[in-house]
Formats: sequence, structure tokens, C-alpha cells
Amino acid sequence: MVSVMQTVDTAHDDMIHDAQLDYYGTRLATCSSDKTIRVFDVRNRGQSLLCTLARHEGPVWQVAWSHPVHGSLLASCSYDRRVLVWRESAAAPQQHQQRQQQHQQWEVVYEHAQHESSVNSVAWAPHEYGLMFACASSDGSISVVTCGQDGNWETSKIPNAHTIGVNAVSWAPATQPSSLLCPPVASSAADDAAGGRGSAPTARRLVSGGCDGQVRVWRLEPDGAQWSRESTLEGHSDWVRDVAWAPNLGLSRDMIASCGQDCRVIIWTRRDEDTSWSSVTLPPFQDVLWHVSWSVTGNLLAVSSGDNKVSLWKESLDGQWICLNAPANSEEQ
Amino acid sequence: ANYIWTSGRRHEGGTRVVHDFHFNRSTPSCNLYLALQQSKSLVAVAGRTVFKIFRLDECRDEPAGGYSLSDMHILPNNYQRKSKQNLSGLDTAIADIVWSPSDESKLAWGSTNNKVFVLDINKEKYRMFQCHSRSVNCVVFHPSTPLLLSSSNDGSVFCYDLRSPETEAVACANFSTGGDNAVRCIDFSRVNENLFATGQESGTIQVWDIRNTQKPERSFHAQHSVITCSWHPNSQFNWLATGCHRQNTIGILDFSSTHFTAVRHLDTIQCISPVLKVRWRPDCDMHIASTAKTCDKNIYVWDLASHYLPDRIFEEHTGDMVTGFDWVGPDWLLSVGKDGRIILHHYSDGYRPADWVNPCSLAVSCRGSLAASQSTKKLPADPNVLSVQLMQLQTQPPPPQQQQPALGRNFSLTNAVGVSGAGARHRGSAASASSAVTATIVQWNRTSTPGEYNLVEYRCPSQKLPLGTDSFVHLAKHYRLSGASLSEVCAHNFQLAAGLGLDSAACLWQLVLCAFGVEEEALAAASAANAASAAEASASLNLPEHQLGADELAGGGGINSASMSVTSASASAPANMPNSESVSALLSLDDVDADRRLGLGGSTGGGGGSAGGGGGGSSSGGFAFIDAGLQSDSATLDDDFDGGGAGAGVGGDTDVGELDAASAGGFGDASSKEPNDYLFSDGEPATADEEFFADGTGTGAAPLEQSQLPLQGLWQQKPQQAQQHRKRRQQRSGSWQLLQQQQQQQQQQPPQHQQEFLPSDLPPLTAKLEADLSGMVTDAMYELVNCGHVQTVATACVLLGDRLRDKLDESVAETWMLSYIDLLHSHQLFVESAALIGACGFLPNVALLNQQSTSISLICAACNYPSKQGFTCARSLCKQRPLLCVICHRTVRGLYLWSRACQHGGHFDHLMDWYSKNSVCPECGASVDFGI
Repeated sequence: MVSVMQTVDTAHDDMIHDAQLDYYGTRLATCSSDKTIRVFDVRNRGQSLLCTLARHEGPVWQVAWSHPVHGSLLASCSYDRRVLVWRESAAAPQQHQQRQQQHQQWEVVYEHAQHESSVNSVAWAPHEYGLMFACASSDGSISVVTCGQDGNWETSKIPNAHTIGVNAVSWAPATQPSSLLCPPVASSAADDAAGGRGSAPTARRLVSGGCDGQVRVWRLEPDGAQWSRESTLEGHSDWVRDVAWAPNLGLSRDMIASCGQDCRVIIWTRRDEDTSWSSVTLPPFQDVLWHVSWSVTGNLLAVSSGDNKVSLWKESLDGQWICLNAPANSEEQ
Repeated sequence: ANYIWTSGRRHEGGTRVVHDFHFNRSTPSCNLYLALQQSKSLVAVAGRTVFKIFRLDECRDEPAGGYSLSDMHILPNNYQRKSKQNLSGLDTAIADIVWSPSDESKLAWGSTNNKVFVLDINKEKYRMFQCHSRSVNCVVFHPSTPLLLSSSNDGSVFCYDLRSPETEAVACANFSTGGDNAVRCIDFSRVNENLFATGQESGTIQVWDIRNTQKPERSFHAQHSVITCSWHPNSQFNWLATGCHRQNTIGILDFSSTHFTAVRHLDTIQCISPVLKVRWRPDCDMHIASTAKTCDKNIYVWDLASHYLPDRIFEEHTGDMVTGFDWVGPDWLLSVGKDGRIILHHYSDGYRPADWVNPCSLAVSCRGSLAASQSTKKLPADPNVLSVQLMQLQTQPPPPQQQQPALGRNFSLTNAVGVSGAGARHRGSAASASSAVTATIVQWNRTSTPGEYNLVEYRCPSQKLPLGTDSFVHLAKHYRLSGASLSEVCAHNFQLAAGLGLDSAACLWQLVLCAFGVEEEALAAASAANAASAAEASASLNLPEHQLGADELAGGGGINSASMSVTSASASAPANMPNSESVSALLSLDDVDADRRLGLGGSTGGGGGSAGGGGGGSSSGGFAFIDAGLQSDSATLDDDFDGGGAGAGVGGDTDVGELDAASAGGFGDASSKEPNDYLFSDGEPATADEEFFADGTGTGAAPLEQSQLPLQGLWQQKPQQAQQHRKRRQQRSGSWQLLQQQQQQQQQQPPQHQQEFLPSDLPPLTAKLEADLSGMVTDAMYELVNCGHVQTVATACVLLGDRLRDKLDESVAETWMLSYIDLLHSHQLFVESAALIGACGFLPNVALLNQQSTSISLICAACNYPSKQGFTCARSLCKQRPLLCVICHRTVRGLYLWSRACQHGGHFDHLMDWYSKNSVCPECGASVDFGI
């Protein structure tokens, strides 16, 4: 099921904590304990180092690419309690001529330093919400940072989201983009035309996983000022390492995958906002699980565990999850 | 007694609170300093409100070991009393406290009111030195001789000789540090006990010989600001660790070089917070502990070998910060914080961040590739761990034993739903899609014993995973969004999807064709049938079609009955029909019906099986219909049919038979459950079927063979059919007016076969059938999206437009469209996405996308006057030709690229070439920002 297409030699000095491909799948950003972020061009199975970003003062835990609507911004979060937002700047002429040597300039457009402890996770909001990201910290809080029209960044905090620390954060997809894309007048007109078929704007949601073993769903209050806890999903017996909200392609089903220190993946689903979450636990894994990731269409789940295995999962019709790659194959990676 | 701390982690090593001062209103919180005797027997803890000396006892009876503190009660009363009476100002804050290493009864401390005190605990007598003019920062004893050094904010370092008469209160030496920069720290070297280092807030580090007060041995500027320093306890390493509180760093300096002035900067540890104090860990040469000056209540232990992360973090203190700590041994650390607690930490209880960091990463890109990096070893760096692997998801069959039961059940589900046509969820499509993902096609195989089924898998060589970018891009580029007729486009798209082996997608196209292609085709079919009816040759065959037209049965019910006849008749037509008109008519009917038949075969056969092998599978699915219908009545017909098939020399009879069996099972059930079902009503007289089959089997060789044809074989007929399409359109336009007359005629015609062939209680099907089928289409769409194939669904939505309005929530359709558009964007297929948006007229919100931010205000490049029409300058005076290329000075035709800053532009190629080397406008030199 999975074969190695190419291997990128990152030349990092220490462990790589995260690697993210951008929206087009052409650039790969890696971050490492050596405090640097490296960006590679991986088009056409090539690999060339575009730049090394070294502004963090501690290990960099995660990177995230924004949607190209906002220009490809790169957010990185680090042990140094900061989130940096990077932008590829307009290169000066002489740098342009060095493009063959792949020297590109990145500048920090925003520095978010409002956490008291390591920032473990950063995630860009769906691009429909504007330029916005959430970051989760070991101090137990989650920040949601929004860039306004005037270029000012504003922070709203969820204090004490998880008591001992938050490890991961993920946004719910903007399920009903129509209500967001259009000016309110037009959408209300469309509502009338559609007979008022509930196309009210869906609340913005995000999910977080923390050291208290809980997965929590947060919802932005209609007044847009405050995030409130919508539900708490309990099922993990140890730290939750990663959460991922599945992309929604118009199905009235919310799906969240979470994995953790207890070597389990739990998939939480609910049919609509009124029902409660139900969970399915994948067959047990052998090692600590670090990442869950959905495919862009939301039907495949990739799980990576500490024992160098990546497994792919798919839901069968009766709600069972089937591993698509036999363990024997994943050994070869 | 293992403590469970607030962090929830259990401390097996024996970390515990050994004393708590219980700060309250009467004894408010203060900075507490801790001094540990070199022999580790006495501990002094002092602060503004607290002064205590404890005896440190090893706990022998505790399993965890460790130490306990017992109050010596040496001083409290004395201290309190004397501080009030004799030692004025002792109650001000203590800044540093230290035991003498040479005479363990002596304890010295400096206070913020410029004084230095020395206490002999045996005599309980104080000595006070007041030499500094500002707060004392640090006091330190000489390792062997009774000399005491103190440093202060006033920049002075004084040395006191404790052997002098006790009444003397002045320093014996003053080291001229040269300036008034606060000296924050002093430490005696372990290598040469006459050497000591001082660190200044200005960043100057000086190394003095205690015998030379005039000039430091070495002086250099190390960091911004040195707040603490500590020589390495192991004399092998002539290292000095310095803590800097402005840059949050610990610097390690190597003095081992014999060269007099050379100091090697060994390393810099980047801490998270301003460093207050550093202490090397005894017996662990590479470990150094640090505390933070502000905002951090943790003690960090750093490993010089790998110091990106602290090796351990002791985070048991609550409150503000840890003000004093020292190592009791390599494994035990005693600390005191502003929270008033003295905590004994065992090293193993420290939080080890390296155990809790992500050793691996994972990303799924839009193109179906996975990026993953994983480490084999956690630390230290292994060259193998520092790479990222990009993996491509590839097609591989799942282990059959896993798939079999699941698919088997689903498949039967499919049949039931397909036939009843009213399933809320068309789970069958999911089955097919899952088989597409794993690239297997599943067919039922009937073994000799009826009722027992085996699952047979075979793989289609051309199949690709839907995740794969190849098929996505191919489909995006070649899916047609519009065309002459719905059925034609559907057929095209079906062919495309089937050609890529995307069975589920192909299945949807069949379904769409079946459900909606009918509408427009029915009229044409009727007219064509009427035209054909003029021919005598196929009277019996055409009669059902007349019936169809007459009853205005646009729906599939009639079609199905018709398709049975036409299936056989059409193929026979070229051979047997002399009348060219009837041939064309029949062929056109075949076209319609074959499509429908395919569609229905796909929908009801469901699953990968039906679509599987596209033409082959589904056309045999058509036969399955026939057979199912027959079987529900009599077995003899089945025999007849088989006979016909055999007579036709069908080598792959089993294939047909298998599908027969499957569908017959399903249909049989369905029809028995739903006697009113239009397809397989029990009222169907056997004779009609027999008659039909007499017709059919007489010429049945061709279609049966056709059913065995591979996909390409079937679709080779397409060009021919396209011709027929065209012909039919002409006919339609020509015969539109005739239609009503013909219908009247048909009503007048006494249809002799009608009563036999069609059940008398046939309900008016049109509306119901349409509804059912569109419901099935939307169900199939949902399932297909569920399986990740939003591409086909979105394309189908565009194609169907308003026709699904009743069944499909607009917002859902919008989500699909936007998802697909997003996918197209991520594959950089902008032209295709624009075409898609343009075709989305039925979804105003989507269609508006193309109109967002599309108005651009232009100014004339020559005179900066706003342009009114395109690039033409509105000023009559301006003679500038519009759209001049700044490179070649010719008027641009085709793609024009220009800078919005200066309005200069030109040929796309020229400017791309230019801007690949430059970033300024070639005309005016204005810089062009490529950023957002």
C-alpha cells in the first residue's frame, strides 16, 4: 500500500519533529530539535533545500502551512514558548540572481509569545475564516490568533483548556462555506430561495488533545468573542498526542481521530450537532502513537507510531476500521 | 511514601517535600537561599523572614532512601532576638548564604543592606563586615584558608580574613574590578584554589589570583551579562559555566588552554528563561543544573552532549520561582523556592522532555503522498533519523481473508437496496468504492450448490487508487461538463472513469445516465421508435416501444421491458433487418437502452461487480435483469435463456450465470417482497417472456457475445452510436411535431402484445420512478464522496444542475463543489477549476467565485491617467498605444503580463524571462513584489 517514493535528506542535526507538505504538495517543511526549520522543494521527486530558518531558541515542534489564499505562510511553534509566522519575502535583485543557489528570504511577520511554556502544536484555521491560527501550549492554554484586515494580530485565549498541558489542536472544517463566502445579504437571499434550508453559519470549532487524556471540542460562541467547551471526549488512558478533525465533504458527519500515549487510536463521530459523540477504537497498536492524519478527502486515516510504522486505515461499511497496509509491508519503510 | 504531584506523575524515586515553611501573613513569602555544607550534614535556609539551620540525615529505613531534615533550633530565637537588638538591619533580605568548606561551623551571608555576616554556629556569635556601599550579591569562602570574599552591586570585591581579631570589621583586600559594574558572582577554581572568577553584570568575566588584588589574571567580555558562574567540580575540566539572564543562555568557557589569554567558548545552552543560578551535577561531568530568575518555577538539568532540550526538568515547586538549590549527591537535589517548601528531588523523578517529544512526523499531501520521518533512536542524533520519506500510496490488494466477509455482506445488501430503490443509504456504492480503493473487483460466483457463494477476486490491470494524483488529474482534464446531450456526456465520462478502473465512479455515471439520461432520450426514443414502426420487420419488437411512447413512460420501467427486447434485437438488427430505417431506429433504441441497461445494471448490481469490467460486467448485468425476471416466474425460461446463450456459443456462460444468480437472488427477494414492483411483477405472463425470448434467442448470439466483450469492445460501438445520436437529433427536430400525432396514432393502435407483455396493473410510473432513481443517484453520490471521490460527484452535480434540486441539499452540493475546486487548486488545475465554477450556474454561491476580486482598476502606463476601457487610455491627448511590450515594443497579442504597480507589461514569455532574472520593472525600475 505504501512505498517509499523518495527520501529527503534533511541534514538536520537532531531529531525531526514534524514534516509538512504545503497545499500544492510541492514544498516540504521540516522542523527539528536543532532549532531550525528547513524548507525543501520536492517537486518532480527532486529535493533541494530552499532555506533554513533559524530564529527559534528551542526545539521546533510543529510547522503548518497556510492556505495559499493567504500566501503560503509558515507557522512554527517551539519549545521557546513562541509561535513564529514566516513569510517568503520579496527577494532583492541580487538574491534573485542567486536563485539557482536557492537562496530565499523568509521573514518573520508575526511573533506570538503569550504562552508560559512550550508551544506544542499550531494549526491554521480553514481559510474561509481568514488568516487565523490556533496554538496549544504546555501551560494548558490554547490561543486563537487572528490577523485582521489592518494586519494586526489579535489573540483570544482558552485558559486552562487541559490541566497539565495541551499537545495537539485541530480545526473543524468550515462545513458550510457558502454562508461564509458570501456577504450576509446574499446568503440570506439564498436562504429564502432555498426555503430557509438551514444554511446558518456553522459554529467554528476546534478540537484539542491534552495531557489529561481528554479530547475536547471547543466552539466559538455566536458573539464571536469567546470559546466555550462544547464536549469532552474521554477514552484515552494517557496523554493524547494528536488529534485530527477529518475533512468534511458535505456529509453530515463530524469525525475526529485521536491517538495517544496509551497506544490507541480512537475515532469519534457524530451525526450532527445535536447527537453525542460515539467512539470506535482501532485495534491496539504496539507502540506509542504520535500522529494521526486524514487524507484530503477524509476517507483514509494515516497513523504513525513510535516503532517506525505508518499504517493506513479505512472504514468499512459496518463501521469497522480496516488496516490497508499489512504490518509486514510497513516494516520495509 | 511516593508523592503524587499535581502534575499527575508518580514519583518512584522518592522526591518529596522535606520541609514547608507554610508562608502566611505572619511569615510572608520571600526569596529563600540555601546553603549546603560540603560534608552534606547541615543545611542553612535563609530569607527575609526565615533563618533556619537543618541537619540533613540520610533515611536508611525508607526504601527510596534520601534524606530528611531536622531543625537544629540553633538560631531562631537568637536570630530573632539579636536581629532586633544588636544587629540592626539583619532583618533585611539575605542575598546569598554559604558555608565555609574549611571550617564547617562557619556560615556567611550577605544582605541587601550592604553587610556581610559570618556566624560561627558553635559559638553562636556573629561578625559583621560593612565595606560595600550597595547590596551584597555574593559571598564565598576560600576552599582551604579562612578567607571570605564578597561582591556587591557597587562593583567592588572585598576579601575578609577571618583570622583577624573579631572586633575588626574591615576587609583585608579590595580587588579593583575597574568600574562600578555590579559584580554578581564569585567562584573559586577547583584547579587552582588561589584563582577565582568574578562575573559582572556588564558581561565582563575576570579571573583573579587572590594574591594579586591589582589586576585580574584574565579579563574578557563573554556575554551580555553574567549573573552566575560556577567552575566545573571535576578538576579535569577547567571549565567555567556562566549564566546570563538577559539572553537566557548558559555559556561554557574552557580555560584549559595553556595559552595565557585564550579562553575557548565551548558551548552555549539556550535556556527558556533568564538564568539565576547554575550548579554542576557532581559525578556527572556533562550535566549542569539551572534555575530561572523569573516566571519559571522549574529546575533544569542540561546535558552538554545534547542540550537542545533539558535532560531533566524538576517541576515540583509551585508558585513563582526556585531561589536556591544544591546537589546533595549526584542523584539528590535539594531546592527551596518562594513557595516556602524545601523539596528533595531524586534525579530519576525529573521530567525527561526527550521522552515526550515527537520522534516522528506524518503529513498527507493533496497528491496522495505521505511524508514521514521517524527516528530509530531517540537520542542522540542518528543520521538515519534525519531524513523525511515521501511515500506514494499504491495499489495493493488487502489480505483476502479480511475483505471477504465484509464485501460479501455488502454485496447482498447492494442488491436489496438497488432493487427496492428506496434505501436511505446506498451502501452498495461504498462497497464498490472500497473495492476500487483496494483495486479489486468482486464478483459472485455460483458454485454447483445453489445458495453457496464464493467470492472471487480479480484485479484490473489499469486500476489506480483514487488517491493517486494521476487519475485525478486525468479525470479533471478530461471529464466533460457539457455536451450535446446528457447521455452522451455521461457515456464519455463513464468511459473515462471505467478506463481508469474507477469502478465506483463509472457506476455513478451509469446511474446518472439511467436516471436522467432517460428524460431527454425518451422523447427521441419514442420518435425514433415510431419512425421505425413503419417498418414491418420488427413489429413485435417495437410494440413495447410504442407502448412506451404512448404511455409517455419516460421512466425506466418501460425501458426495462423494452431493453430486454432491444438487447437482443439491436444486435441482430444489422444482420437481420433489411430495412435501413428500422435499423437506425433500433440502433438508436439500443443506444438508449443499452445505456440504461448499463446504468441499471450498475445501480442494481451495485458494487464493484456490476461496474467491474465496465461493459462486460454491466451488460451481463442487463441479462441478469432478464434472467431475474424470468426466474421469478419459471425455471424453464432460465433454461431457455441458457439455451439461447449456449446456442450463441457463449464461452463465458458462467459469467452471465453468476450474475444471474446474484441478481436473481436479489431480485427474487425483492419482487416477492414488493409485488407491486414494476420490474418483476408476478403478474408477468410467462408466455410473453417466452415469446420475447423466442425473438431474442433467435438472434441472441450477438448480444450474448457482446456481453463477454471486454470494455473496449463494447465501446467500440460508440462512434456508430454517436452517429445515431446525431441522426436522432435530426429526427427529433424534424419529427417533433409529428410526435403528438404519432402518439395519437399509437393510442389508436390496438397493441396486441401489450396486454400480454405488461402487467395490467402497471401503475403510472413516471413520477415515482424518477424520484426513486434520483434518490439513488444522490445516495450513490453521498457514498462516493464518503469514499473520497468527490471529483466525480461534483462533476455529476454540475452536469445535472437543477435536476437534483429536490433531492440534494444545496449546501451539500456547494460543499462538494468547493471541495472539488479546492482539490483542483491544490493540483494547480486552475483552468479546469475556472471551467467548473463557470458551469456552476445552479449554485449561485459557487458561481460567484469567479467574479470575486475580478475588477482591476488600470491606469495608463504612459500618462498615469485612469484607463476606461481595457488598457486604452481615456485621455485623448495620450497617444500611447495600449498593450505595448516593454521588452520588444510591439503590441501584445495573447497573454499580457503587467505589473500593477507601474502598469508596465508585455509579452508573457518576455516578462517571465525578465523577471526570472530581475525583480524590477524593465521600463521604469520599479520593484515588483512577488509576495502576497
